[in-house]
Amino acid sequence: MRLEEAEKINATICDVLERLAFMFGDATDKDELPEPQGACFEASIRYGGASEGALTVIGPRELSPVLAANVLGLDPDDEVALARSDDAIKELLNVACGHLLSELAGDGPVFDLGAPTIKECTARDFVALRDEEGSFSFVVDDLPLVLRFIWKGTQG
Amino acid sequence: MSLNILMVDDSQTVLDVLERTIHMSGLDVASLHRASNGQEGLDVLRSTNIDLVFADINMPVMGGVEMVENMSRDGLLKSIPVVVVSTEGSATRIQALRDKGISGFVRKPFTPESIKAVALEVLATKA
Repeated sequence: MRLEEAEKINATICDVLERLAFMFGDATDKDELPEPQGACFEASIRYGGASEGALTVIGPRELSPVLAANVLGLDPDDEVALARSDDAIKELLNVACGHLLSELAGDGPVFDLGAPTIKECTARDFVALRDEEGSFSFVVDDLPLVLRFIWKGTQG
Repeated sequence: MSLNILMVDDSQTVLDVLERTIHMSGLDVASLHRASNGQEGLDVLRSTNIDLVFADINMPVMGGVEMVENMSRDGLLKSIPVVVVSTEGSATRIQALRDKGISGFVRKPFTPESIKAVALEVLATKA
């Protein structure tokens, strides 16, 4: 992936976090990223059409209710925020993937986004993705988040 | 004019955020109705007097485009404007949606200002 594309990905993720959830993300060197201490979530969305790929994020479980609360304008301990944690992560992925594709490919090519999925994972999975070449690391409200965006470009 | 608005999305989170945003937008809202897919949306439209619809594209059971196609074949529903709320960024796709009868489009993440602007735009066109 070219440097220009990597910079667009970093900027787009931070922009979406801010506008969707009013949360501030900082692109961080992976060596400086704190490791989660407990359970994590792994969320993915696939896309097809003008190109094929996927967006995957892994973060600590405590991030998801905070994200849901911010999206919904609720307290993180609110029962609704807790119940909507997975839904909020999926929505973040959906919006982020759509914006990444238009940032990287422009507004001409047509893409089809799949349904986002989410599952439990461990801190070991977090570390594995963090250490993967081409992954991106963020600190979001003091919590770590790693991301991989599979992007092969479009023809023409 | 107080508006009866229908929101169609399979995500309860999106419906919650959209409801809050519509209230924050300053639109004069008489009632807000929810549906979790296009088929449920059609059921609401056939039983309730709705002035404006905000709908997602990709939903289980029936998507937003199929819902609009069904509305266009129904003499009582075809004049109700439908605004697609989506993460879509392709101008080609958005034009294709308009060609299929979508009245307006607002991209996620939306704001009270963008929701109000597109609502007033499509309602003015209808009038």
